[in-house]
Amino acid sequence: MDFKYVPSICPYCGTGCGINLVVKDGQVKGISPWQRNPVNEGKVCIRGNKSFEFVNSAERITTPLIKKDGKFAEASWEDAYREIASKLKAVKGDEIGCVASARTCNEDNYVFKNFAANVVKTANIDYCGRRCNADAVRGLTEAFGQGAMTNSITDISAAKAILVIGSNPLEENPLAGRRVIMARKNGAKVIVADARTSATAKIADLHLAVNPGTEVAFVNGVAAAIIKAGKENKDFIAKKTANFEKCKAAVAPCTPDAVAKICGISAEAVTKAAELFTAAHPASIITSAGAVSGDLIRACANLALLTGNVGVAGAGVNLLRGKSNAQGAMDVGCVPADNGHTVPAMIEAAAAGKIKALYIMGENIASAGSHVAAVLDKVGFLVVQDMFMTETAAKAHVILPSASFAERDGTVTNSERRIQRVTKAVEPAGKSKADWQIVCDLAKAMGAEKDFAFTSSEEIFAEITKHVPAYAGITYTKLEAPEAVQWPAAGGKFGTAVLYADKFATKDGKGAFAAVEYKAGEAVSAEYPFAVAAQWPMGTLSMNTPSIVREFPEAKVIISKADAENLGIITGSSVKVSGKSGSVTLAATVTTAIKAGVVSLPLTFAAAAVKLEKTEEA
Amino acid sequence: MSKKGDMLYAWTNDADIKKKAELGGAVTALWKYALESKAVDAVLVISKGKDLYDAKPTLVKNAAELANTAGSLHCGTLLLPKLVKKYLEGAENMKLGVTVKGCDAMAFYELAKRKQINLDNVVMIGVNCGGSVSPVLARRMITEKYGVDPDMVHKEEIDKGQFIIEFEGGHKGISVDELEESGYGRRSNCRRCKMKIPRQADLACGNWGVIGEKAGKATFVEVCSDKGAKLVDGAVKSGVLSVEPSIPKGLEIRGKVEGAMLKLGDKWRKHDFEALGEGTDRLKKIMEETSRCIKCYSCISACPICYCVDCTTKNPNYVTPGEVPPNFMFHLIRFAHIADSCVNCGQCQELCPSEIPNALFMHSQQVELEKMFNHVPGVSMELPLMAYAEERVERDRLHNTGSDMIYENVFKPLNKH
Repeated sequence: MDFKYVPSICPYCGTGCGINLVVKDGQVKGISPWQRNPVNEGKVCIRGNKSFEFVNSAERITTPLIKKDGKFAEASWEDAYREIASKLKAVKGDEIGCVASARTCNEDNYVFKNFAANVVKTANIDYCGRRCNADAVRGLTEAFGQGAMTNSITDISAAKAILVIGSNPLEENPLAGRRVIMARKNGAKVIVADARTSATAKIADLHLAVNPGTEVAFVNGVAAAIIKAGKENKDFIAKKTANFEKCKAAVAPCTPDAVAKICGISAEAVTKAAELFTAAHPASIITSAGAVSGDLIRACANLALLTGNVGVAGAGVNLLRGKSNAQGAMDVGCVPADNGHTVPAMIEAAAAGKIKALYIMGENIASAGSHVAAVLDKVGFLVVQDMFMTETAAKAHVILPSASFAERDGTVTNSERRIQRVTKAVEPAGKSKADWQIVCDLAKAMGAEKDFAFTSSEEIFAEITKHVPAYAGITYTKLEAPEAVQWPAAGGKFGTAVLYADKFATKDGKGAFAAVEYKAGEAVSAEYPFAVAAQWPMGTLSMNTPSIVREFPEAKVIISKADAENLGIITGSSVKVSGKSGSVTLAATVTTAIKAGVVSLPLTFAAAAVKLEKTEEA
Repeated sequence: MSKKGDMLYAWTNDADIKKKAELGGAVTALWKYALESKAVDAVLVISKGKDLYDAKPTLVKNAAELANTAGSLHCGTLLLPKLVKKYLEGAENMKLGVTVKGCDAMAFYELAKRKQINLDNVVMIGVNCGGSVSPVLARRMITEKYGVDPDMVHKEEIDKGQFIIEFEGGHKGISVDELEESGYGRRSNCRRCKMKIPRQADLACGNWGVIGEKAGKATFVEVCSDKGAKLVDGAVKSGVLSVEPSIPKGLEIRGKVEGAMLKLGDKWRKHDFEALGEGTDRLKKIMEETSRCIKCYSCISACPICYCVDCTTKNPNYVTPGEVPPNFMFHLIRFAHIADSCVNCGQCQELCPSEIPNALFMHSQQVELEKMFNHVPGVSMELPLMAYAEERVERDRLHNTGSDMIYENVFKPLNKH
């Protein structure tokens, strides 16, 4: 009997927890704690605890598939490559779109990016993080110089005050949430702004049920209150920042009264939040999926600069990422330059017939909504590389089966810039192959032997370190230590835990304030009276993990008890939810843990205001 | 010939083992003999993973590999019996040797009495354990309290009340008391532990009481079962091990060390349990702390008492699926099902992402239940009330009544027509 533990990294969120894969006779039998990993010290959430289940799923795609007469037929790799090569060669480069993945490794994304640029010769390369935080990352770059979390997950526990906004770390990034719990145990005051009384809000010292979409107004209000009280860090502002006056002017209209009205909270609450945030140093700001636009992150960056909360442990603007390699995919360059399309632009171009072929790796873009799904139905040629028959894969002309994280080597970069090793524990399911291997083989089949002659993920990583400055000097050998390396590597033995300790990475070395004005989004109206707070949807991995499906068998519309009583809705009622762009029928969950007038819907239902109708008895 | 009750000094004659093993290398030598004589098919031990702080369970089938697994790792906070149940078929189909700490030995007994592990197929060599330190905390402790780069440390040990490190250029010891005063040191369950010499194992080994010319060169071995005696005799006969009776003074010292450790355990129990308060105060504290639960199920996955196929925490009538934090019933179910048998192994606390002191809560209840019912978990095959049912049989029986509600079926609160 062969029995071993193989240390690896959880494939789910951007926290990047270490896990041990328990391997027996060539099969992953379970997950065991890896106490030595510095990120999570052996602790995991339900996803990490069950992350072996999808690896062994009978639903895995185990052979290349080519669609003929509307049906998938099993094919050899050679046939699949030949089919793709001939179809892609028939269209011009700028008619091709390539979508990289936030849940595959750096090595996969790097060769994928090169495939787009050098084989099919398109500038249209983007990654699925576009839907979550790509704009927020750009915001961080503009404010501080680097497009990533300023601090480390571990040092959140050193904070004395924490503002959580647009994020519910206890449920979304639970092992980062743990650090908030630890900080609070050490006496930190925790402020949570969320229309829902989320698990994180429940541990807060001050919970503010701000209306969804008004977060920028709230953060500006806190900044304005700090300035009004004269509590801004004048020394830090003078020495280390630029453009403070612009910010000051922009936040001035956000008086406590104005913010109270916009956010649906009390004016005192705004002042109180400002007091708590400035009462102790260091103070940390945590945000994640709620920071979809660049505005919220810039408002948060302003607040951090205003209070001198950058460059020290326990402070910073900490953007927690949704997927295991959301940071890395962007680091290695899977974002379009000015002449290339983002994912939404690719969809638009495809709808207009200007994009004729799409190659999508490790992402279910059809889940973004019915408009995307409809475009994918029409696109001339669709290649999907994935482990499962997602909604997107089902629309493909050719499917290339990917190996799971347990079946290959590679690296992933978590939210805190820590580049960690994913280690092969078992052989790939069926004929599936590591994503980098598929991309390289396809490139070779299309005549690009020379640049894709890699024989291991390590060789690709060596190549990455030559082209991505932040990764310079890092090797697989260095990543063997459980601490691995937080980029930039030059910062110390294990890289850099806290960015900007000396100066910012902007051109002038200063932290850039920005004038971020609150722009009201789609408001609730008589026709659509409920504001929408987005829920994280179930993704491809979760949907193929029975233990998680058991907890969340279907998407729900979450309604406050007060609103539900008015509408005669109880938990389990079938409710038709309609917005300007369409409608969906979902089962209701009635709760006291959401503000009246607000409903929570999966992120994929793109609407800011909706109406509700009960459709039948439960 | 040795027999149950013997107190021996033992050391290996094997040159390879001598080079790598500590304190006479008796444990490694005994396993070598067990493997070579086919007394066991494999040995499950803890070995070094990525570094000194990374404890990794390793299944050794080839005696030649044993030397690499020698030596103790105080940062090993693992519990092996649950792995044997989950991944090694409860030793049903193989003869397995396992090196155990006190909590491992107790957990083996609890799983065995619930028919989850076949102890007839398990040989346990117990090692004295004064407690273990979580690896990341240990590294921070070495950096902050010792002023030493933890990667420079090549050996750590707990001896005479000190946590001692050897590193390039020196060694340094700091008293465990001092470390624990400043928030480092052993896990809190280890501090409360009173199973320092695991006599439930077939042999209980350690360095306490090895004095005189054998000090540092031999292992103290207490023979705790006939199986253990047979193993020692066989190893001696094969030439891999030598033994001699321990000297009375050594036995006395061993008793004193154990006594001191038990006293320290009592001190920590008093400290921890008193801080919990009593009655409704304690309940309030437990409710408040558990209200952070994110329902990762790690406490259940790791618990050596949990073995049900259909865990009641997954019954939607009690705990709503997907609700985070879950209602208090989630925790009440765990308390009700586990508290009478909790062995204070600490896994539920060590692995809790919400920093809930689960082991403290469960252990505090176990201590109260023991006062009431005199049931002592982890030391004998005596069953507590909750373990009398064979789960699958009981589930089937309940299912056949048309309801799987245990309370209704067992206690029949209503007369049905």
